[in-house]
This record gives sequence, structure tokens and C-alpha cells, in this order.
Amino acid sequence: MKTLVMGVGNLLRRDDGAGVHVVNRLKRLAPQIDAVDVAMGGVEILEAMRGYDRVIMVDSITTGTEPGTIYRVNIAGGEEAPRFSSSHGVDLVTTLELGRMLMPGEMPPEQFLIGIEAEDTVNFSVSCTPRVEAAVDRVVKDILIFLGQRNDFDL
Amino acid sequence: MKTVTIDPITRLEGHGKIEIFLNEEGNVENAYLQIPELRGFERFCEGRRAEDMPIITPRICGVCPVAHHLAAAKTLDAAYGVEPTETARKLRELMNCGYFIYDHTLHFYFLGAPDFVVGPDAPPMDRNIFGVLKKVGLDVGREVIRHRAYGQRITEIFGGKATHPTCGVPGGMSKGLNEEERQSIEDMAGSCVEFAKQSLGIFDDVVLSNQDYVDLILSDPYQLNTYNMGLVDEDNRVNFYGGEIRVTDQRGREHDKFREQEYLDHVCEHVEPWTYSKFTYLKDVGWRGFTDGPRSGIFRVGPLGRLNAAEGMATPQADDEYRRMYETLGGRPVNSTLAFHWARLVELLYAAERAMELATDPGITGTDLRNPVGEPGEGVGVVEAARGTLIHHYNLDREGLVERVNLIVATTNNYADICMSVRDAAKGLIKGNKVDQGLLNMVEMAFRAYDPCFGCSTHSLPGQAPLQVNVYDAGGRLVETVQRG
Repeated sequence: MKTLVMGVGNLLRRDDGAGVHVVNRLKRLAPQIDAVDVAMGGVEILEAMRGYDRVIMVDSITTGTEPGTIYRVNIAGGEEAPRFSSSHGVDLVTTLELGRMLMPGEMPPEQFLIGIEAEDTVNFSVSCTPRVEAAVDRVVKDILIFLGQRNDFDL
Repeated sequence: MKTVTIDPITRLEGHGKIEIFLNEEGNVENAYLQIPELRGFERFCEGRRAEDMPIITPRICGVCPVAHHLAAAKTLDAAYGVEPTETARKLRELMNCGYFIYDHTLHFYFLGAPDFVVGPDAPPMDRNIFGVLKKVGLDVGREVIRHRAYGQRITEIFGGKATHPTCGVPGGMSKGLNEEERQSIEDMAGSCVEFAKQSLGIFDDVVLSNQDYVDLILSDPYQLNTYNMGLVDEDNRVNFYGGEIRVTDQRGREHDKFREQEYLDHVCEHVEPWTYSKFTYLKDVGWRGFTDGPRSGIFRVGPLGRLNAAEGMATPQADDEYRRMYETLGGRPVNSTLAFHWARLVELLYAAERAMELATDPGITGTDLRNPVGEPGEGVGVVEAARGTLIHHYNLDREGLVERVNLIVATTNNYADICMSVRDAAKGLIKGNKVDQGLLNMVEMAFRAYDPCFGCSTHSLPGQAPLQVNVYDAGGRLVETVQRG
């Protein structure tokens, strides 16, 4: 099964870059995995997803719970998917709906979102806060195991 | 006094908040747009290597990465006292055209068109891209996705990644074009020219053929008589990459024209206590508060500002559209804020035509990519971003490390205008405490026309409703909350 991991976020805005950190870590640990940093997301993710069987999106999320909390959501369902509104014009659910509408048959049938609860997305820094950093490690590990990669890695 | 807060603003690039202050009669007293500050970015850059600036600044915000990249590269050219080679200059301009293609396409169809194509009075849940597609058809939707991707691919051919380009270096470019890449850009640009014409056709069919919409565009609350600013070539035609900065007045006459290095002599920044962001104004005219007219130094940038500040477009079909726009709307300058959308489409056609010209320029595959740099010092670089004039200014120390950074982004240049447009729209549309969602959307329309980006935008996924309106009484107590979504 052809899988793509997409990291969304701004690497300079501390925890906002969590998804991008996950992708960068994966690229280093398992270069055989297709992983891309799609930065601010938006409509271009449709292009990136084209032709894959499965996509795993990793993004930071701010719901007000404990920083570092990890959410795993199956977003392939369409209407049942939670209505996250992104800070960036075209939100994720809209984008995916658009993909199903305009490119039927080309969108990955399996779509997952991994959200990492952020603590600080305001200050400029290329490193995450400690709890989010720990969550990044966990998510990297989870993805490697999920994709049947090695499970003896040293993060 | 009552306060109406619209937060967050739907369909915008980034976060923002509009606060509308009502008086005792329930009429609009004032309106302010609050932008989160670009906190600490300048400090983040200090001490870094100069050549990192074109890599770092595109990450300020994912909306204008290419414009920041090119402004940074131009600033380094100036700071190192080097002119880029002829080929490098053309490559950079071509890259900027690719970025304008994808950015203007996205804005028109996803952010602007829902108001016009679907209609300002349509229910909020239909006023989005799906409503647009219902009206124009799925085939147009596929064309939108395809051509937005073409614009992005053009920038990727140079920059590696469209969102994080790495090709601009002081004195030129790190990578040239081979024949295969050139051919591919020519094909994509050709297709984008047709797509831009099709988009102008849609604007004609849906907006201009509807007298209500034309009246809306020309209606009083959406007029602002400010100065206009943009980069122009030697014939005073719009240019996205270089030339001189031209300022025209409320009657379309040239008020000022200066080289990018001289911006500090012509543009000042004003500070208000209620926001961290600054307001730019023309130094020789001065700051007179939030007011328009010849005595107020406030100016507009972005698609409409650029077209008003110029005398035409440098490509034939876009120039025809330029003239048609001014003929239809009563001559230059056009001061209707909602005409930004039309101006954006004229620019989309120009970007595609100009990309085509550059892609077929015999010198574009040249290998003279970079000139040797001089000693590090101070530099200013200006390019047109999709949203308007973007200024970078760095001081480098003798080791080539960054000592001081000042960035004036397009949204800062339009900040005072946006606040005034919101206030005027609110004045015309909210009266006697009557605040319904249709009216609020008209206020947002004024704001959205500028396509403002908030430099510090992040991409965390918030879980709240897309629109919330809070009404406060004179004592600051929350008396009403209206939610949209």
C-alpha cells in the first residue's frame, strides 16, 4: 500500500512546526517512506496526495487541552469528519471535500489526521516546547511501527 | 458605546479581528482591524548569516514565500553592492510570475468569488468554494486546481520547493533553466493565459452583467480616495519584480517616483496604541489620522493600487483588459475597494502573459547566473507581492552577519486603508443597532478585497466556529453573542 506522510505547519513558529518536525525526523530515520513538508497546507495538498492509497497528515492543533496530547482521526469519511477550520483560508475538510469532488478516484481512500496539541505557536523558534517535542517523538515512533518499519530505532 | 467584534474573519489568510464600535444610537462610531504582531521576527534574524535570509523570510508566512524570497535576494544584492546578471534577473521575474499565478487564482476563486459569484446575500454556508463550483461547474473547478498547480510548479522549477525556495543568492541565482524545463514552463504559461482569459470571462458573465453587483462595486461605502503605490517599468507600466516605485494621487497624476533604496525618504510609519502593527504613509504629505483625500498620506498597494499607480500593463492582452476596466468603471484611478477583485484578474492575465514572454526569451536558458559579490553593508530590496509592495531592509556587519532587519509587508502598507474600508462599509450597513449576518458579511467583503495576510500566521488547527460576533454595551459588558457556522 502506497502511503504518504504529510507534515503541515510553520517550522519557525515553535509548536506550529510539529508536523514538519515529524516529517523531517521520518526522512532521516526511514528515507524509504514518502514524507513531505507541505508547510501551510491548503489546496496544494491535493496535488501531493494524488495517486497514493493512504495519506497520514500531521499537524499541530489548538483545542485548549494538555499540550502534547495526540489526536488520531480518520478523516476519509467526508461528512462525519470533524469540522476543523484552519487558520489559512482554505481549511482541511474543505480541501479534502474538493479533492473528492474534482478528482474522484485519484484521492487516497485512506486518510488519517494526527493532531498534536500545541502550547506555543506565537513565538519564533525552530524547536518545540518540551511536551510537544515528546509528542513529536511518539508520533514518529507510531508512524514507523504503523508502516511496518523497524521498531528498534533510536530517536 | 457598544462593541461588535467579528472574530475570526472567515476566508482570510491568517488570523484577524475586526472591532466595530457603536455609539449610543447604535450607529457605527469607528472600526479597527487588529493584526497579531510579527513578534520577535527581527530579533530571530539578528546574528544569522546574510545568505540565510532568503531561506528564513519565506517562512514568516506561507502565503507570500516567493515574494519574500525575492525581496531578500534583492536586498542582499544591494547589501553586497552587486547587480544580478541579466539571465538571473529574468529568472527571478519569471519565478515571481509563477507565484502571482497561483496566488491570484487561489484568492479569486476561493476567497473573493464566493461573495460575487455566489452572491453577497447568499446564506453563509453556500458562500464558499462549493457554492462557486455549483455556479460555474466542476470543469472550471478542475481548471482552477490545474492552473494553480501550474503556477506553483513554475516556482518549484527554480526554487526546489514552492513554499521554501532556495535559488536566490546575492548577485543572481544558484540554478538556471535547461531546455526541457523552459519548454515545460512555456506550455504551462500558455495554458495559464487561456485560463486567465476564461476567469475574466466568468467575471464578465457573473459580476459585470449583473447591474446590482456593478452598483455595489461603485457604491459609496466601498470608495476610498487615497494615493496609490506600485512598482513600474520605464514606461510606467506595472512590473512585479523591479523598476521604480511610483505614487499617483487621487486624480491619477504622478505624485512621486523613487528608487527602492530611497524608500525611507518617502515612506514613514505611524504607531497607534491599540495595535502592534504600524501604519505606513507618505512622508511629504503626512499622517492626518484615518482619513483619505489629498491631505492624508495614506496610500493603497496591491492589485488595485498597482494598476492605479501605473499607466498600463506591459503585455498586450492584459493591457486591453486594463483599459476595459477603467473604461467600465469611469476612468483612472478607480477608488472602489471591490474593484480589487477585477484588478487581480487583470494581473493574473499579465502574470501569465509575462511568464510566456520570459519563457520564450532566447536568453532565459543562459548560464550567466551570478556576478561576484562585493563587501557586505546595508541594502534595501523591493518587489511586488500579490498583496502589494514588499520592502526588506538589512544591515550586515563586516562578517556578513545580520545586524538589523526591517520588513514592511504589503498588509502593513494597506493597513490604514483596510481599517477605513471596514469602518465605511460598517457605517453604510450597520444602523440603529441592526447587526445581522448579511450586513456583517458586507463589512468583511471590504476587508477581503485587500486579501490581507497576517505576517505571523500559523497553521495550527483551531476547533472553534468560523465566525463569532460579540456585542458589548457601553460599560464593556457582553450583551450578545452571534455565532456563524
